[in-house]
Amino acid sequence: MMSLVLLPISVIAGFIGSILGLGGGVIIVPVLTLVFGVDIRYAVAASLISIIATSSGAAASFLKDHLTNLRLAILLEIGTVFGAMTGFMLSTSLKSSSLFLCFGGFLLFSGAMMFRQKKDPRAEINHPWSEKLGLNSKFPDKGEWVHYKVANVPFGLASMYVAGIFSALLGIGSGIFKMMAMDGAMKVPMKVSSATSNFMIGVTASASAGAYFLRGDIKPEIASPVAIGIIMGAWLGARVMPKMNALLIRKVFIVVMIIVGIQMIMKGLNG
Amino acid sequence: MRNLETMELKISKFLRIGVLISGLIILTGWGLSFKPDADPFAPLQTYSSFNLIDSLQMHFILQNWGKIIAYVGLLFLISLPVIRVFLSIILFIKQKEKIMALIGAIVLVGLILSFRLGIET
Repeated sequence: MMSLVLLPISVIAGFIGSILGLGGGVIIVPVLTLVFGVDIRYAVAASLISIIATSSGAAASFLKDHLTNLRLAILLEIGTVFGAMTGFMLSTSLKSSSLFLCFGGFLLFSGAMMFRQKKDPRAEINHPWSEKLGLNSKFPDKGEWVHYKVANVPFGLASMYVAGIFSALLGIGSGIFKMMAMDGAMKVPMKVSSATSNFMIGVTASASAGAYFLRGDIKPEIASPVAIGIIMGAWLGARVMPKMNALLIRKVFIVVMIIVGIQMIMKGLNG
Repeated sequence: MRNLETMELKISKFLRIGVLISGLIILTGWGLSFKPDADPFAPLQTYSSFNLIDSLQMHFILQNWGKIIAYVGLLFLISLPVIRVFLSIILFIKQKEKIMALIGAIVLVGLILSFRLGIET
């Protein structure tokens, strides 16, 4: 009966995730651990499944809108995949309490980041790697094509490595880190960094999900309702998104994220 | 570059269908193994190392076909991004973009190595 309760919660996670551009991990892991009392390592593994489902399902929509920078995505996936390997290896040596503390800290950090005033600066010149690989591109904005350049590629690649570590360790898409690196350091337009990040998180999650799956940490008892619920919720969210007040949902979600973050830290501190 | 984007769009549409198919397989497996009175989360409150092969052998002996089907669906879902990277490499090779094909190959090798970690740990 309990897994039936998890299904509608996963639908809501998929729904909110698709409206706010999240993978769903920030909802699934706290629900499984704090509400259902599941060990955080099983929760992290199940959450990665939800990220693959949302990313793979949404990739076509972003590509159709010409917002995804494919070449940049493939290059940065080197960083995220090898980061995910490191994160998976770290997960074997970290205690549950440390994971709770990391997750709580991540939620508080994400909440703070979602509050910040976003700037959308553009790069004046291409980084040499960007020039060599043709990473500069264009995207449609208000009816016209806007050309952009890509700066600071090595720093972006290093940041993606860190994003990959957190993804594997905490069962999250690490979209916030990816977007910070892309629109903050590499000066990629925000719409492009958001779509490119969404395109990449499936590959990042797959790297560690495959390892967790073969180690036996992905349990069908929880991963099945989570996967089905997320697929349904994301499908529903994509359809009602134009009619929703995303700003209001975002504000409510930030408050929830901060409360849950504190709860996760408390759980970590109590061992 | 536009041709590359068109082909990638086709791959992504295939991925979306893949997500739906894996969802249906997982739903079938979950439905077959569903027990209304059981609390499936109780054994998962403490972590125990029990690898996939051992789990599959146990479910095979106990004839838990629902669980085995759910595992197949989950494996298919996890494999989708790997298939995407593989198809992207083929696309880059067809477009004679050697460096991008090499970058894609590095990502693919990384994915395979990462999967291997699950067997070794």
